Amino acid sequence: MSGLSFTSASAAVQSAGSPSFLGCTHALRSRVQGQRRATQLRVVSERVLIANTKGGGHAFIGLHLAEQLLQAGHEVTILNDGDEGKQTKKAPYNQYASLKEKGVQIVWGDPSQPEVLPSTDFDVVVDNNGKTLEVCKPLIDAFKGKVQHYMFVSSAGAYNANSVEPMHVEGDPRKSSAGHVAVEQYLASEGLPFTIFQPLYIYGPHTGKDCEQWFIDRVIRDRPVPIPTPGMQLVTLTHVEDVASMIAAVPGNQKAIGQTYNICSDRQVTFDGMTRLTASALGKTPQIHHYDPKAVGLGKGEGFPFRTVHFFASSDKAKRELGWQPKHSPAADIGSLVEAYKQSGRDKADIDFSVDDKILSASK
Amino acid sequence: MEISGLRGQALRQSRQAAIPLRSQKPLRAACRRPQVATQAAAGGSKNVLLLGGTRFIGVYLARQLIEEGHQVTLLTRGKKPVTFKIPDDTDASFASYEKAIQHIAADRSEHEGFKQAISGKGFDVVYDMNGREAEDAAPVLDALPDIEQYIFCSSAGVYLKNDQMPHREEDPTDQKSRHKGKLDTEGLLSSKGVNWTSIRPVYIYGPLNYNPVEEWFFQRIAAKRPIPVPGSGMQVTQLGHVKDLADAFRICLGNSKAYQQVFNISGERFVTFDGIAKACAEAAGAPEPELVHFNPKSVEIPKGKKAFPMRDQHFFASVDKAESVLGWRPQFGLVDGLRDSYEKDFGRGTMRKEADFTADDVVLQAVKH
Repeated sequence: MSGLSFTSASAAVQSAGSPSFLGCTHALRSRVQGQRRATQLRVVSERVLIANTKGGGHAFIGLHLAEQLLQAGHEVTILNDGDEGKQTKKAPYNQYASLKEKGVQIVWGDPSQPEVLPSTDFDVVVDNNGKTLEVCKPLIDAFKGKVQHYMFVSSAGAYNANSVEPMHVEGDPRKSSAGHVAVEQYLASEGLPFTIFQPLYIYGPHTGKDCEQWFIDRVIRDRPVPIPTPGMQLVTLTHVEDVASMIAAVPGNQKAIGQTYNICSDRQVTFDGMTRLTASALGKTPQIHHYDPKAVGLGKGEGFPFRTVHFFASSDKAKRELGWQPKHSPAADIGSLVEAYKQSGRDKADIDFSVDDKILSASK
Repeated sequence: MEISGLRGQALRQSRQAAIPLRSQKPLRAACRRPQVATQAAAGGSKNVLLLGGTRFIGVYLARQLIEEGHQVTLLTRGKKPVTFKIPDDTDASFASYEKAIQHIAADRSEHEGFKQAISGKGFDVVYDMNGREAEDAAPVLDALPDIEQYIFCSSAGVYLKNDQMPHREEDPTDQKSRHKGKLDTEGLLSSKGVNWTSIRPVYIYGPLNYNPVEEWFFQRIAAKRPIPVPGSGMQVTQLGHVKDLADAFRICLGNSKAYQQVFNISGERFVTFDGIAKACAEAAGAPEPELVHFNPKSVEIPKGKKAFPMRDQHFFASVDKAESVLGWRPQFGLVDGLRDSYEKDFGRGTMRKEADFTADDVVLQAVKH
């Protein structure tokens, strides 16, 4: 978080001392004058609980969000779903040791059983875990009336696809059967001071789910890239730091209460375009192979990492109301993403291309 | 607050429009705040020279500027009447417009005569709506060296095709595009030290449109013909209502935040090719049209004919710079904007061109086989 001076806040955090802040009093609150942005912010050091998921595209939001909240002078606890021994063997959880060193408290347990938390003394809760009311409700009920701000990381995937005006804008109709939507409705009907975020696909360091890697796997091995026809579908790919920076900007911002924000880059790429960007970063000629997933008889979600319709959204509302700006775009990042891929040694890994081969032979 | 005249009428009509295709419109509520008055209106009236634009954009812009109290002179060759009543006029508003508007007859291509005609008239601001090449702008700058502001109608067609969309003002431009003259003009303006503003619209539509944008679709809908769409129909583009565009031009007047700046101006939402066809049908109160998708590479379209009125590619631009810097926001959404065009113009049977279905028939034949 650039430009905010938190000398007194960080002093407060330091004097709160040790990782084991649980049980210690919270008289330590410092007020710091924030940098003038779209709204004048007075940033208070908040006690933030992040309920984090155990896998999938959202998993690493918790890591980056924790880091940004720390930099902003807040106190952070992560309640992470799953088994510590198992989870910490892989990204992003294998980075949690460094979070602990910086003073983040990590509790391993199921967020739908919030009684695992030693205390419910938090100012802000961020649910980056649940996708259904069944899972989210206990956490909401535990903090109803207790927190100043309750944030839910939902999904832009729950917007109805629209073949006329495909870009998703806040307030557009959402799939009534979607679990996320039930949670959003519950937050509203229960009167929580909520902010809801709608992310799309996310990429960046320590991800638990492939995004650009799918394209790099193929291009770096000089394999054809099977793209669902027509290949001009537009998709938003957002860097996790931009996702985290929007969420981190909200604690203390009263104007965000009751609001929903799409979190995404202000740029989209086509499927073909992503292939070309990847090839260009690798100094290769792209081999794009268009196919019809229905004709090849693939299962849902098989063969391609993204949904096969246009999937992009506007983040103009967040820009206007939160003074947020994305700092990344796929075209700007592809070079460093390719480097990170190579450094991880994945270019030498054995990748399963059996579905690709099925597609290529079925759609010659 | 009662807003008079043309803008007031447009606002009231857009409020009365039926629910657009998307069942929600949080944007609509936000759009209904009163129009942004120009800083010039606060600071006093300007003496404005409007070069061209007397067929479409300028028709609305001139009215808006006069309503705001500025002195407006239209410059045309004088071959056609410059004041004519338009569907958005009332008798009263047209009468006061006709009384206030001024005219100079001159030919931009005859540089000496043109420069003489415009100098010494005390013009503060020039709106260059029909300049195509830098050579068109140069004489204006020569004749009016002390001009306060030069506002230029450019085009989003100048952007280089890009794998990342939408086009943003900082994106690379295409020196080989057929709009290169617009780029050259922007370059000239930038080099001259004049306070310049360049507006880059995408596809413009609205009553009086002389380009076959919505007209092409309305003709097929009226004839109950299937609508040929190249490729998948998923190509994404953007339509901007002419009144919103005129509004943006007006807001730039005397606005120092607009100096030395380029702004994309169009609708806030983007639309697919299939979507334009569907939205036009909805605006016309017609049933959902039959869409026939064809492969443009396997159909031979007769020379001089077009199978579809738009470039077969994604073509859309972000308008968030104009929104955040100028406080401009479009008033029209897609369906209510098309409805405005239909009700005031094409739905009345007024067309610029005779319907020509030659290319359509070639496509439909080819698709059958």
